[in-house]
Amino acid sequence: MSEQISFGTDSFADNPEPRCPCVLLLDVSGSMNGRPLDELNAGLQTFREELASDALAMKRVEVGIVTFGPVKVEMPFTGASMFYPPSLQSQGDTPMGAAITQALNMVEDRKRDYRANGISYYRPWVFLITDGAPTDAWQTAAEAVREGEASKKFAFFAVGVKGADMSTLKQISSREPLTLDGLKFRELFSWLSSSLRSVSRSTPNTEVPLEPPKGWAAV
Amino acid sequence: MTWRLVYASEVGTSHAHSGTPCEDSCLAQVDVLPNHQPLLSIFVADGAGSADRGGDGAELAIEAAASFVAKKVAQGEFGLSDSLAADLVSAVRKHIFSRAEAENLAARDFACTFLGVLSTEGGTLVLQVGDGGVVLDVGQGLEVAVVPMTGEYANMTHFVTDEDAVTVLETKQYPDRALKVAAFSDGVQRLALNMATSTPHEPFFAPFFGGMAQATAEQEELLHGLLVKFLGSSPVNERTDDDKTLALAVWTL
Repeated sequence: MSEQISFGTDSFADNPEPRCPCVLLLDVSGSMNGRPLDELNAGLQTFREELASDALAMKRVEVGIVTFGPVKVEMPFTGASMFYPPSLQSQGDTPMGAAITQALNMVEDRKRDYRANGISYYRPWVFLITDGAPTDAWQTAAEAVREGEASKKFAFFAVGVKGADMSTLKQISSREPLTLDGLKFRELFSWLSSSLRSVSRSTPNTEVPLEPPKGWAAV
Repeated sequence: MTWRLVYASEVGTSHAHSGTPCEDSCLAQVDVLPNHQPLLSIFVADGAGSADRGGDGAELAIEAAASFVAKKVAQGEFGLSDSLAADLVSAVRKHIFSRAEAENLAARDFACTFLGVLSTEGGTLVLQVGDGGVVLDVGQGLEVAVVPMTGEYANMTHFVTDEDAVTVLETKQYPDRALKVAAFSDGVQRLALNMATSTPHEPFFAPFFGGMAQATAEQEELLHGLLVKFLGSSPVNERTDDDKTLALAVWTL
């Protein structure tokens, strides 16, 4: 009689989860005061709740928030499980160029951290939301966005709230900027969390097809 | 004296969820060369989720590799060299490209990764295009043959159907017979390798190699079922939702 055979293991390599970084680049200039900002804050809560409903996204998605203006890193990259959205207050003008540069630098710094720690990662997303026009020089930032998109350093999305200078946004973003339908920030963030959830569970070479921005983008 | 073999591919939970079949394929076999020495062949292919026919591509790759080996064995003598690896990858490509053409599709619709191990008493050859990996022991303990191939991003890799497949092909040669071999797809990779250092997580492999070495002749038949059960178990599925392949070989006296 031979011994019972065991074949299988309960010891696994302890590798960090791959990360899926996303920077929210949010306009909190004076014109966002009132309902727009209330709805944006409510949208951020939705974002948190919907990420929290997905175990894998909780482990993989990292959110950073840059507000303008003035340009401020409202929240450095934070894992979804520790992400508690701040309550944003409206402030000054619209230094969009400097804010974009700040966000792109954050993305490159984060990648360096990942690499230094042997963490694999997905292509970072930068998500710009504005209701105005840049009040600073934005051309250099626009060039960096276009260069970064072309070399797949990140994916840059721009959303204009009513009053946004869409023609400047078009010059900044390689992807067609979208216009927010009214103040449907909640629907927008619901879409964003669902898109990030798809990215964070994608396997090699699946170019994740983005869901159409249904329910929040004006045609 | 020969190799004892166990291999299986199991569907990942994300595929099971969406109703797509397992898109990994694998094969392990031992042929006897004209000089009566055994030749070990192990092949693993992982169909790209982004390709409509990735799973078929993986099957075609394994098919082509098996017939390439059969031809070489019939022919008799051959060296386990880089050029053999390149010929093998070219044969796989040719097979996939001709199927794609016959069906009026692009080869990239059949995109898949491909890796393999060939071993005889005179040496061992590992070849790899894309992610997944090979861990083996040729007498110096377990090692990772080729650093897993990924692009900058976690969801990027190389495919045997890519234009530059023969250029990105990585090979490793050893002068000795492989005593233990594990070849696996990327669904298993993060569970079995310490990715930061590209080293095997030894406790992952030990029970498999130990079980295979110790199994009695009657128990050997059970190993396949136990491997399938392991690959579909919750501890594995909690760590990966991708398709999973593990092919194992142990040299036994």
